[in-house]
Amino acid sequence: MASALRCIKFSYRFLNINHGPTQTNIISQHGPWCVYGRAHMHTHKLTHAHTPTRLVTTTACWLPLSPTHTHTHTRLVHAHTRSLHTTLPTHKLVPFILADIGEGIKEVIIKEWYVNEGDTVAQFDSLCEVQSDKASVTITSRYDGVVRNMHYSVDDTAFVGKPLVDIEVSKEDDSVGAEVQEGEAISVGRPVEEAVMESDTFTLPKGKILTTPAVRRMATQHKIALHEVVGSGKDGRILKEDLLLFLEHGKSKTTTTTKPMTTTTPSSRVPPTHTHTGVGAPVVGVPPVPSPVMVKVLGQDRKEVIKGFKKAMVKSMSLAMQIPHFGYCDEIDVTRLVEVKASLRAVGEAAGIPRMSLLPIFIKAASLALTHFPVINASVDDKCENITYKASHNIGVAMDTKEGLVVPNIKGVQALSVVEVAGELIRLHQAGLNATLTTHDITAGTFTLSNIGSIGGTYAKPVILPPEVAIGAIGKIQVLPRYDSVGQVNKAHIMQVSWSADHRVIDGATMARFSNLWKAYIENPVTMMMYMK
Amino acid sequence: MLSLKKLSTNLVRNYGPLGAVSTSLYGSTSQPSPSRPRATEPPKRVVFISQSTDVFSNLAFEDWLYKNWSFEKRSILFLWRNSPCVVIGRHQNPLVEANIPYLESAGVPVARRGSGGGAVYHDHGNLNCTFFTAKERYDRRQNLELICNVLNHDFGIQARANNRDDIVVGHDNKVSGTAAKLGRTSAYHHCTLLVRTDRQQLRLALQGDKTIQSKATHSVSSGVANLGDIGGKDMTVEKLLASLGRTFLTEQEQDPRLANGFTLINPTDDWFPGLGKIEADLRSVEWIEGKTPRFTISRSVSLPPCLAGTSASANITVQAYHGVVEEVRLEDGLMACEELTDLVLDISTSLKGTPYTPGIFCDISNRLRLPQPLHTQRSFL
Repeated sequence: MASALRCIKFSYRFLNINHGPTQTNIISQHGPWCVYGRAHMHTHKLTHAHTPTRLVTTTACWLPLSPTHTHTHTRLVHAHTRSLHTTLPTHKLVPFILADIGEGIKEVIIKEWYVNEGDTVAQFDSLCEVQSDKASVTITSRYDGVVRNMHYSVDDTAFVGKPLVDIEVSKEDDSVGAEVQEGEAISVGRPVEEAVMESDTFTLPKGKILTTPAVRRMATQHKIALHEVVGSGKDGRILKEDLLLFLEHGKSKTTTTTKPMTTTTPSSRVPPTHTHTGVGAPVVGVPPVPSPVMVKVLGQDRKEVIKGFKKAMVKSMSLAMQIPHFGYCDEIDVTRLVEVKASLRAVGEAAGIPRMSLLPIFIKAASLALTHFPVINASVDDKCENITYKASHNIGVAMDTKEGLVVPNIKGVQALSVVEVAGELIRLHQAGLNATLTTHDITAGTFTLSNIGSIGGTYAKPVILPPEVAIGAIGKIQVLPRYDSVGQVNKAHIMQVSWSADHRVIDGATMARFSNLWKAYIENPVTMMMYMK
Repeated sequence: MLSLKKLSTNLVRNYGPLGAVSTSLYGSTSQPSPSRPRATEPPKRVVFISQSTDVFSNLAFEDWLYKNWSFEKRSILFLWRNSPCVVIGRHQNPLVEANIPYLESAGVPVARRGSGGGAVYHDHGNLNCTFFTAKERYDRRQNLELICNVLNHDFGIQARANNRDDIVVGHDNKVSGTAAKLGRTSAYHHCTLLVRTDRQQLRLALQGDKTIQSKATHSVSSGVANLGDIGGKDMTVEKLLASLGRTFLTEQEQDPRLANGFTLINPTDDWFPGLGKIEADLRSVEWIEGKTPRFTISRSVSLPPCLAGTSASANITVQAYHGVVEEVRLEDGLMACEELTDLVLDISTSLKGTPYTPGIFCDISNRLRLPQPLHTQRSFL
C-alpha cells in the first residue's frame, strides 16, 4: 500500500535546524512534544531555506506518513498561537520571594497593590506597599515579566521568605532564581558618544550599556554588538524587542529618533571615506565601503580648565548663592522717555555721545533713588555681622564680553550728569570689548544694573554680586496695550524690571519703595529733572 | 583594613562590573557577596533645616529628597517644624485618627505622610527629625540613640528608646514617635520631639471616631510629656535643633569644618524642581482621603413611622473604600420590612461612588423619609 500509516509513538530524531539553540536541552526539559511544536513554529518563521529534515516526532495520535517522505509535512495537531516574537514560547513561572526587610521582621501586612494579575512589569517597577511596625516599605520587582498568582490580598499578612507573587519570565532569563544584584546586572551610563578617529569605519568603543543578563546572552548568541543597538527601554535600556528589531533590519539599521542625528564636525580628523547611511551617494569608481551601524557622533568632547574670568565667575557665583535672595519685579511705563528719545539722542550727539540709549538715564535714576535708601547701596561682610553704608554710588553695569560676564562699574554716579554717565558707559564698553578693563573698573561696586533686555527677556532672577546687597535686571521694552487714566486703551512702551536683594539686610517694603521711586523717576522724567542733584 | 576581595566586591557594588574588571588584576573574583557590604568609608553627613512651617511643603521636600537623591555618599538629617496640623500615617483613616469636625472648624490641616505608623499632632513646639540613608544603612535604633544621647548630655534629660521605638522619659511618658519608609535604594526614618507642644490641643485634635471598623493602622495612644517641662526654661526647640545637628555632624568624627554643616532649605519649586507637583499631590483629595483603607461605620438611624416595623430605628452600615462609598447596608435585615430593605438597597446604589463624608448618616436618614416612587406601588396590606 502506498500510504502506509505509520504510527510512531515516542520516537524522535533531532531536527537539524540551523537557527536557534540546539535541541538537546529543550527536549530534555520539555519532552518531545515541545520539539514538535517548535518545529512547526520554525517552518513558519524561517524564510531562508532550511534543510529538509526527517521529522518523525509525533503525538500520540495516528498520522499519515509516507515512507519516503523527507519533508516536514506533518499535520499540525498542536497549535501554538502565542507569539509576540520569534523566540520560543517557553516561559517560566518564577516565585518572587519577599526579601528580608531588616530588623528581624518576619511578617508584614500588605497595604496596597500597585499591579494586578496579568500586568506586565519591568525590573524595579513598584509592586506593592507593605507595612511592618511603623515602616512602610515599597516592594519593587526583581524581574521583567507578567504578574501571575498574587498570593496575598490587601490587609493580609505576608511572610518574609515566602513568595509574594509569581512572575512569568521568559526562559532565557537564566539569572532568574538567583538574586540579581543590581551591580552586575545593569551598568550605569549611556553608550559613550566618542568616535574612535583612528580607523576608517566608526566603531564606537564599548561604553556602558544598560541591559539585563538575558539580553546580553541573546546578543552574544546572535553575535550582535550591543553598542550598535538602540535601546528603547527606560534610560535607554536595551530590551529584547530592540535586539529582535535589530536582527530583522539587519546591520544597515539607521538611527531612530530617540537619538539625535549625527552632526558631522568640521574637524579635519573626520575621515572622508566614512560612509554614513543616507548621506550622499558613493563616489563612482570607489568600491562601496560597508556602512557601519551609526549610532551618534557629536564630535569629540573638549575639556579645558576653568580659569580667568570664568573662574572668577565660579567663585563669585558660589559665594553669591549663599546670600538669601528675594525678588521683586515691576513693570515700568517708559512711553514718555521713548517719546523724547529723539531729542535725547540729539543732545547726546552734541555732547559727543553717539547713539545715546536710555541706560544712562536708568543708572542716574537709580542713583537718585539710592540717596533715599542707603541700605540698598550698602555692603555686608562674609558673616553678615557688619554692614557698611557706602557713600559713593558705584553702579555696576553687567556686560557680555567674549570672555563672558563682566561687571565694571561707574564710580560716583551721584556726582555725574546723565551725559557723563553715558560717556563712562561707552568707555567701559570699549574697554570691555578690547579686554582692557582695569581692576579699578571692576572693583568697588556698590549696586548693579543688568540690561539683559538689550538681548531679550522680560522678567529675570538676577544674582547679587557679593559684597553688594542688591541688583536689578532690566527687561526689553515692548509695545503693549494699556489702559490710561480715563479708561482708554493706548499703546504703551512697557519695560519690566526684576530686583533681587539680600533678605538679611533688606526687607521687601524697602525694596518696593525703592523700586517705586525709581519707577516714578523713569515714568515721568520731569520728576527726575526736578530732583536731579 | 579591608581585604582585597572585600574591596573588589565593594567596587562592584558601587561601580558595577567595570569596577570589578579594573580590580581583576588583583586576581579576585567579581562575584558580589549577597550579604550587605559596608561601604569603604562612612558617608558624609549633612544637616538640612527647613525654613518653611507649612506641613505640606516640608512633607513634599522629604518625599523629594527620598525620590531624587542618592544617599550612598551622604546621609542627611532634615530638621523641620510645622504650624499646627495633624499628620496621619500612610495607611490610616483620618476619621479614626483625628477629630475632623474640630480640626476643620479650627482651620487645622490634616496631612497624610508617606511613611507608616500612627497619627501625630504638630505645632511650633514640636521638632521633626528625618534621617535619610541608603537602604543598607537604615538603622532606627542608631538614630534614636543619637537623640537620646543629645538629650542626656546636652540637656540632662534621662530619655530612652523603648521597644516600640518611642522615646520615653520618666514613667513611660512619650516624647517622640517614630515612622519610616523604605524603598529600593533609599530609606528614611523620621520622628517627632515634643518640646513645648500644647498638650491640650494635641489631645483634642487626636480624638477620632473610634467606632469605625477598619484594618487601617491604628494609632496606639500613650501619655505624652513635653521635654521643655523637664529640661527647664533653657530647653527650646532652637537649642535642641542646634544640638542635634551638631552631634549628628560630629558623631562620625568628621571635622565639623570639613562637613557641609547646616544648610537652610527653602522647600519651594524654584529651588527643587518637581517639588511643586509632589506638594500638590500631598494636598489633593486623592491622597489624603483617597488612600484610606476600607472601613465600615455603623450607626443607628431612626426610621419614619411608615417604615418602622418592630423597632423605631435601624442599624445602617456604610462601607467605604479609598474615601468613596462602596455600599450601604442594613444590619439585622431579617427584622426589617421589605420596603426598608429595598429602600436601603436603592440608597446604596445611589450613594455608591460618592465621597464619604461624616454627614452621610444625616443624608441617609433624610432619604429614608423621602417618598419613593416605588413606595406607592406597594401595598401596606
